[in-house]
Amino acid sequence: MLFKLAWKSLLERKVSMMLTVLMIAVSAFVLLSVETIRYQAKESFSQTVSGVDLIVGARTGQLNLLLYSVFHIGHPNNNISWQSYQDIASHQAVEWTIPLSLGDSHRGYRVIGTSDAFFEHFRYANRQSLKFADGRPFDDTFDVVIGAAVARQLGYELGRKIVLAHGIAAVSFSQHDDYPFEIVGILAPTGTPIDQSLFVSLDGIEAIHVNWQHGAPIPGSGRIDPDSVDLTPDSITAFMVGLTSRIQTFNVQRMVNDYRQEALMAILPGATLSELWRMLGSVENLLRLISMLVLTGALFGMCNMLLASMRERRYEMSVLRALGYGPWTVFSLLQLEALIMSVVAILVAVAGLHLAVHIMHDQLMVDYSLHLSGQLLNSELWQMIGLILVATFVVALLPAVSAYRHALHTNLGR
Amino acid sequence: MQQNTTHCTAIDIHNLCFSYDKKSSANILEIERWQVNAGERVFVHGPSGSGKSTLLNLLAGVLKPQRGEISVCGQPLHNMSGRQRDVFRARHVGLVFQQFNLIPYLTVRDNIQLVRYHTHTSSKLDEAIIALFDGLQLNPILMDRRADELSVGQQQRVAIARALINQPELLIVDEPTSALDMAARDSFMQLLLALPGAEDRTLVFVSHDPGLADYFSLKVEMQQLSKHKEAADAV
Repeated sequence: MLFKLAWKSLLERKVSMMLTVLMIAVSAFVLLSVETIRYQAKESFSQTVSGVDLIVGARTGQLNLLLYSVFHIGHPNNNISWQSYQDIASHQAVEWTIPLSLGDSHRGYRVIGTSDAFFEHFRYANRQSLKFADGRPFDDTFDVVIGAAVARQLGYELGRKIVLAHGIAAVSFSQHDDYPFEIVGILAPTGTPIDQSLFVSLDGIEAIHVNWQHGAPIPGSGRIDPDSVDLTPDSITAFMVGLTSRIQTFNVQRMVNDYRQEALMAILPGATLSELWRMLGSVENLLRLISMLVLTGALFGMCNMLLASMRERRYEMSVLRALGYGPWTVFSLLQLEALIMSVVAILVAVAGLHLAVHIMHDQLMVDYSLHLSGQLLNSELWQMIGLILVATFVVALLPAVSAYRHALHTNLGR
Repeated sequence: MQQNTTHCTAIDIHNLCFSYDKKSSANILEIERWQVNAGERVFVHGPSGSGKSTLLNLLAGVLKPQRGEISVCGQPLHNMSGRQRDVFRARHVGLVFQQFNLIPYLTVRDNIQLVRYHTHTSSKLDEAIIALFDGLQLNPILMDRRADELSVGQQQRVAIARALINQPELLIVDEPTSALDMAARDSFMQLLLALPGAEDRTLVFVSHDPGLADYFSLKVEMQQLSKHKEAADAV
């Protein structure tokens, strides 16, 4: 009966009720969206690399090394000589290495020169290995394997010949058009930067740069036969290391950091990932704070609406008192009305969130490699919803207590 | 409540003092002794500000006296907590006011169902309402109307029906006819007094209209009941 009373009373003030609900719904939508993106970004983020014990590159910032080796963002400022790479790779504690050679691109997507070890040893998420949606790893010098998003965005299929560009800009003026590559494999989606990348052998990278100096082809040199020259690279950008035993991690890291022939650095991807996430965390907290402030504003709007309604409802309270209801009933009635509005608003917001995710899913996947996985209403989101309800209760205390006090001191028939 | 027959005292007030302002010694109401037998029809009369409304609120257990004793239907209201008095009011007292008895956006049926502790099942409740409507000359069709679609006279009669649905021992009616014209007023009074069970029910009827006094067995002047006139006049 109390619910019916609360519901009908709200319907009686339909316009202001709907505006209030809309206000809360919009702010709850913002809050839940921020929360979802934060959660999903963190998920995808922490899943970009796993099972790699160390990443080695030229001495630079830890984050810089992580960004260009794992996320393919930014520029390496130095390379590692092939000699040093071979030296460290042959260390007794090193089980496998994945060389990475960056610097070329294809229509804005990064091209990474690597070896078979990449397909064999690289892991992401919960130690998942890379799977091929189609085709096989590269074998020949001019074979290329492409990420899922690249294939989808550019509409590429197996057997197609593509040309790599020098540099990493979307529009490059120096194309390696004398050495076309053939697509031999398409990777299954991973929700990591791998989806946005192309992979060729180190030989391939070396071959297209034969007769290049200082980032430009030597004029008049023309195409040479890649088979006629030694395609062992002089240097690579970085490499990932898997150790025979994790206990060796710090030993090998120290060994790399103290390496005499060259200024090198080794980082622990997990630790550096969380450091990076902490940096992004301040932005995330700011977003969260803003959305919470917006929600608070909306809740105060509701508080105001309920307080204003009290003026015209004074005698309703008196009727309830005459029928033997105590001041607590009046208090509950106001709280119930606030709760109804909040719950309706949250339902609208959650529906909006699902709709938005449904519409934006592909976009997020392609543009940001943000893989919105599984259930949207995870426990963190439920916590947020709980928080909104608690905030509703707290804010509605003002009109509810005022109604309580009024009911307590009401004089019937006035 | 078994002892609450016509032989018992429905209202028993002794040395009662009441003031809205706890710090002030000026009492709004001060009644040395007032007893009303069960089944009595009391007409309380007095100018506005004489404390009529305060007396009703005390009888209904909404207000609590600062001092003295007030028993209604054998229950000592001065010793009861606010919650106990609320329950007492729901079970034993029916209240009808001058206006604003009904919640406008609820149907008539919902308004009546709003009473607390009604013991009827919903089908029985409808029967009980129809029986009361019959006595009050209300068309049962009105039950599904919104309360604010009814005329003032109809609303007053619905309010009576609701006040009686729990068969209270005490019915308190506060200026119910002031919004009605003369003819409607007389027919309202006749209906009210002819309702089934009216003989056993104590009726306290408050009005500033002395023309209604003839309907009642007991007439009380507010100024005589409450001896503290200066304070009352000051309100």
